[in-house]
Amino acid sequence: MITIVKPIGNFCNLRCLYCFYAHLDQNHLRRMSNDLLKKLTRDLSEVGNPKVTVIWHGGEPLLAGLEFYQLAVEEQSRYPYIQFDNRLQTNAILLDEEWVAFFKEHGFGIGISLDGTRQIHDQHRKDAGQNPTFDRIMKNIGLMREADLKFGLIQTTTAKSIPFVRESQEFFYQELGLRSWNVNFVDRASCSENVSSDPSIALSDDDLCQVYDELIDFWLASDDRRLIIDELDQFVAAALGRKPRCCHFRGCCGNFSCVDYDGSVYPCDRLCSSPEDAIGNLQESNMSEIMNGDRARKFRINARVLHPDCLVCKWQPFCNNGCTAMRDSNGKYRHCEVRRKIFDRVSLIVNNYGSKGGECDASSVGKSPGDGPEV
Amino acid sequence: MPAVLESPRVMAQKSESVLGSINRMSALPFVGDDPEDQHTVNNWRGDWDKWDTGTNGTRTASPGYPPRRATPTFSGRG
Repeated sequence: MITIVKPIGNFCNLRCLYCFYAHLDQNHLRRMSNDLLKKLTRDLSEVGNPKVTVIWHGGEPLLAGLEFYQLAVEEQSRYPYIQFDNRLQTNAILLDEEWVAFFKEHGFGIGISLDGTRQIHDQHRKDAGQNPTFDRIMKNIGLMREADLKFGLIQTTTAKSIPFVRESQEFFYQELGLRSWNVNFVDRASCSENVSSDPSIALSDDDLCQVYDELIDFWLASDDRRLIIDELDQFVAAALGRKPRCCHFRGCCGNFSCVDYDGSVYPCDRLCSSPEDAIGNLQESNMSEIMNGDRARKFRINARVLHPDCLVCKWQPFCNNGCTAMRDSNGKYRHCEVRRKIFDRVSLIVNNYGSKGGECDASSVGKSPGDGPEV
Repeated sequence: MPAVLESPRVMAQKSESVLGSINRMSALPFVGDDPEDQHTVNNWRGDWDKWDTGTNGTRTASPGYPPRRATPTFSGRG
């Protein structure tokens, strides 16, 4: 099972241009209590799944302090029959040798939030004093590299990113030596709901197509079997008739939980800004009860509602109406049209390999959704 | 109009990146390949693959379906 834990809620030491939580309280740091952390760990161990992935998220999760995570791994060790897999998404500002040594010792998977080269990153991600952050992050990435602590990366793209998409991919690949990262998008609705201070940063559908174009062009040109851009892998899976892995393609929304500092449980960190989104609270009941409760069940039912357009779309089994948090007022995935174009484009690319008898050892290349088993 | 909407560009030359992705994704089950993987909204057990059919509250082993499911991944914010 996967659970996202926000030990300090949405509190952050940066003030990113596109912050999803800018409208929420950024003046008071509240941290999950030790007692609640212990209860959460016990609850997760009692769900009945031998592997539990905990994604420590925020806000900025390092603000919870090293002692918090020391207690977390200590509590996890009380349940040796459960395999806890810890991952943490950080802006890397507070990383130092001590943090790096801790993460290395306890096998944390670290994700860094970096929006590309200095020029675009420093436009996006400033600290509370409006100072740029790129140099500090690069210095701390250096600490991780010195310690051989492997890390991944999430790049968030806005309309301002478009001129820098390709050079940012080159930067991740060439300069940072990464072979795996993912790309997120800030769209119009993200802005109207959460950012509003600068709606011009929102990606339109045309912008989004352009970002995908740049990504795909880089992907093709990099010519490296080890390169994984997770978003593109999902489209390749669909082109092969395979079940995508990522939640906003796979249709498994409601399978995850997101626990806030006060014990509130939400379906996802994309749906955790309003108390109405909560499906329960760990201070009142346990995780299994919450996830099997009426609110969670209703959420799962609603998340699985397809739009009428989905019913005649050949990509529906691979898209499942996209991310639940990104549907319009008619219940349709906001980027449906873009996604269909990308499905078609990647499918053409993949089919090209099969039809020309490439070196690929996959037996199913060229198998289109229409050829696949009945769903 | 972005290029994607006008005319899909298809590389004439093969890219190792695409081959790598094809190989990775080919390890995943086909959509609809495994009836146990069809989901309901009932009986959450902490994992996608632990969802049962919602009828009798149990999962049954299907010898014809090897355990080749991949763990779903969560797409988080950066």
